Amino acid sequence: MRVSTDKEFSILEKHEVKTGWKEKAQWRRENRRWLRYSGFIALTVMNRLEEKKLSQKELAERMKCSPQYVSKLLKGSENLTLDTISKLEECLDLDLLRTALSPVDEYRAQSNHLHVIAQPEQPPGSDEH
Amino acid sequence: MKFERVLENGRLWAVMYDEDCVNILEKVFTQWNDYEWLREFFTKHVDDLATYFHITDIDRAVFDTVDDANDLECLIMDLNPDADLDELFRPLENTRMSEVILGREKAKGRYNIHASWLRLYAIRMESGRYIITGGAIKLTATMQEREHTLGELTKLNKVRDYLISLGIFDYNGFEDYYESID
Repeated sequence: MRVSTDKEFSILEKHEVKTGWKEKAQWRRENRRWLRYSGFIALTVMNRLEEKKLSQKELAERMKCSPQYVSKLLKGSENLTLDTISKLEECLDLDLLRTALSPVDEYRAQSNHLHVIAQPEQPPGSDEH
Repeated sequence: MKFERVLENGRLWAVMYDEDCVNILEKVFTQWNDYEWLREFFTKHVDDLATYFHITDIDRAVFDTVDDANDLECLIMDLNPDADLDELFRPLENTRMSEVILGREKAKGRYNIHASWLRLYAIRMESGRYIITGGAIKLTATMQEREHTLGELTKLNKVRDYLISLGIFDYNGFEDYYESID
């Protein structure tokens, strides 16, 4: 396989863009564990909003925060404080902490178990476009 | 359209489209880690999920996607400089037997609990050298069946056409182009 020379690299380096992809990916890797908890809370809140037919804006009003913050929170990448979690619990009548502390891993185990019972199939026809 | 180096040795690149401020790889992995976006996506495609994967629990589909995406992203980050990228990418058309210029390729996620629905799409400049053009959650048998996967086909063709319009047909051409605007 052909290996590029240093000269070739330097030419390309002048014109390529650098948006810091690697740093962001590294950040996701390093924070994977709490991000999962944040994601779990986001999903639980979204399900509750749907159940109670509440909008994100209404939740923001109840929490006395901006709709932008609620929107950010629902992406599952906010490092939530205990204060915010408590407000969410209060506003939506949820027990997030107790559920989230047993939580995601247990959910995974359950999913794996379910999978053994009902093996999902690969889409037919493989990957033809 | 610009390009960002994914591997330091210049063997893997990602497109940055004019309307974006990050490269497409970052855009795709951000979506695949966005619980709100994923929940909305699987709610919309719940029938495909049930038909092809026998999964009806949207929360589960979201968690599976995040797990699979994290593993795929780590795999790309940890690629050894000497890794054979031809092992990661495969021709888009399963029936393709011969080499084509700037071939359209795909890489699949490696999820081990069920078949992965994650796909990265790329243009092959030459053996072991690729430009990632996009990515999608592919739940159906063919890309033409759904708008979002059809959009990925369009992007593949758009990047391929762009490279050809610049006279780039392989990695040498890619380097020559940059040299000419230097």
